[in-house]
Parts: sequence; structure tokens; C-alpha cells
Amino acid sequence: MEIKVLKNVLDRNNDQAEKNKALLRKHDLVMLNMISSPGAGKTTILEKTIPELLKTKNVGVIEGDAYTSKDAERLQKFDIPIVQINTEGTCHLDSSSVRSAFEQLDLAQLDVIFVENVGNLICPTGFDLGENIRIAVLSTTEGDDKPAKYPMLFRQAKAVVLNKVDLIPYIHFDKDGFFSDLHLLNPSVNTFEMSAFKETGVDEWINWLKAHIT
Amino acid sequence: MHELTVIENIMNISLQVAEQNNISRISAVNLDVGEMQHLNEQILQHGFDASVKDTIMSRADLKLRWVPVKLKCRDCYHIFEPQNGCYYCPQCKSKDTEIKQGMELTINSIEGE
Ligand SMILES: Nc1nc2c(ncn2[C@@H]2O[C@H](COP(=O)(O)OP(=O)(O)OP(=O)(O)O)[C@@H](O)[C@H]2O)c(=O)[nH]1
Ligand SMILES: [Mg+2]
Ligand SMILES: [Zn+2]
Repeated sequence: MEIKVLKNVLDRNNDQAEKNKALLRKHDLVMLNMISSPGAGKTTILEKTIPELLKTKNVGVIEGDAYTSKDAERLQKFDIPIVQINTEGTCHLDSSSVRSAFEQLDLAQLDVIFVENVGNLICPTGFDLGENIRIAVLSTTEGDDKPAKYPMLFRQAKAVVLNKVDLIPYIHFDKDGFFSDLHLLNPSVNTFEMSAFKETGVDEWINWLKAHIT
Repeated sequence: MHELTVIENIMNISLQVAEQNNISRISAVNLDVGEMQHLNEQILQHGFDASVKDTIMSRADLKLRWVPVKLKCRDCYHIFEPQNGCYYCPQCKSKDTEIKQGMELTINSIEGE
């Protein structure tokens, strides 16, 4: 006997993501989900971004990490609410772990929440957290062929930060080719060239963020 | 390794549907997987076989149907498969397209007695 099911495997995650979205809306909050490979520079970008935003906004952070709290410790100097989620080896955050993180934040007091997802270019992509804005970060050392290899992430991202552009002179990275592939896949994407390390391109990024957190 | 999360959810849904329909043994799960989904078929099959042990789906086959990516142009309604990573409409050159299929991760049906 065959029984029709026609049910999305990730329904449970999607349902909770919708609830998270409603909660964010209720508190007039913008949540950003930052996705990249390990080491692309997510935490460094947050270290450069948060002090600028703190001048006018209340910022919270949810840190996803497979086992450690190293990234959360790096951000503690800003004296902001940070919730650490250890995924116990799992390669992505999901909407219910973000919901539990909300319990530890005073949502009414915040304007923006950055979620640093677990370093992984594939797994976090399928798990909607209820975020308003999805950001993909790619570092130049990973290669210029990534949009073609990971279309789901780069199609869905509202913005892509190309980080570590200071290293381009030392590697083979076809920047024009990269951006043209990216725009063929995702014509409306916002793009930023950055060296978080040398603090170039950070201003454009922050201005864009400010325009989206009102 | 989000394959493991996917398997866990497949099992939960399948077992629930079996119970609701008085199925005492599941022999197959038919899963539609969009080609946009980065799922490794081997990991999925191995993980599935290991996870279903000691359940009413212990001998079930996980049957995958890969669904190609198809886009629809929002300007001229042309439906097409993207070529060479280009998601523009090949007919009217519009950039305004939506993904119609290729993102699936859907249990189409289960089979059993
Ligand atoms: N050259 C260069 N190095 C950078 C840049 N941004 C970050 N790095 C370095 O890259 C390494 C990884 O940076 P992180 O910010 O920890 O990267 P991450 O994405 O948070 O890493 P995970 O959380 O482990 O996934 C560190 O040694 C940074 O100093 C950059 O723009 N240029
Ligand atoms: Mg980090
Ligand atoms: Zn068209």
C-alpha cells in the first residue's frame, strides 16, 4: 500500500522559523544570519561592525559554535548581550535553538541581533532561523568558483561580503569573474569587498546595515 | 552533515504517518530531493540504514528522486532550466526569475503493509 505524504522534511524547522519571525516583528527587531566556511572572517567582521552600530543601536549576538565559546569571548569586550549555542558537533543552527537563545535575551531592549552560524557553507543554508536578512561571507582564499558550487546559499543571500581582499595579490582570485557569476545567479544581491583585517570596505557595509536596521 | 538531521525528520514523519494509517511495516520511503539541495546520497543512504534499525522501518528502502532546477520568468512566464549558472530568462533576458522547482526536500509517499 502506498500512502501519499507530500510533507517537507524540514517542516518542523520552518514552522518554528515562522514563529521566530513573528516574535522579531513584534519587537521591531532585525535579525541577520551570517553564513560562511570556517575562518572566512565572520567574527572579525562582527568585531569591526558592532562598535560602529553601538553608537546608535542596541545590538545582541547569538553565537553558534560546534563546541567552544571562543568567538563569544572575543565579543565580550563590547559589553553586549551574547548567547552562546553549542551545537554539540552539529553543523548548523536551527530555529528551535535560536528560539531558546531568545529566552536569554531581552528582545524589547534590542534593535538588531547578529547570528553567527556554525562555520559551514552547506548545512546552515537549509535551516531558516526566521532571520530577516541572510548574509553570505566568502573569503578570497576559498576561490572564485564558489557561487557555481554552492548556488543555494549565494542565490538566497541578500548580501555577500567578499572578505580578505587584501590577500588577492598573493593568490589567484578572479574578482570580476566572481562578481559576474554571482550576479548571474542572484541579480539583486548586494555585494561588499572587504578586508576586515585592514579595515577596508567596512564603511560601505555599515552604511548598508544601518539602512536596513531602522 | 545535516544529512543526519534530515534522516531524523524523515523517520519522525514516516513513523507518524504509518501510525495514523495502521501500517505495521514500512517498506519504502519516496523522497523528492531538489538538485539545489546539497545532500550526499551515500551519506543519506548509510545514515538511513543505520538509523532505522529496531523500528518498523528497519527494512525500508529510501528511494530518492532528484528534481532538476527550474526557474520561471516573472516578466514573460517562460519556464526554463538554468544553463551555465545563469538565472536570467533566456527568452526575454529578464533578471526577475523565481525558483519553481529544485529546492524540494519532500516525502512524497511511504509504502508498507
Ligand atoms: N588577511 C586577512 N585575514 C583575515 C581577514 N578577516 C579575518 N582574517 C583572519 O582569518 C582568521 C579567521 O577569522 P575569524 O573572524 O575567526 O573567522 P570566522 O568566520 O569567524 O571563523 P569560524 O567562526 O571558526 O567559522 C583569523 O586569523 C582572522 O584574523 C581579512 O580581511 N584579511
Ligand atoms: Mg567565528
Ligand atoms: Zn522572460
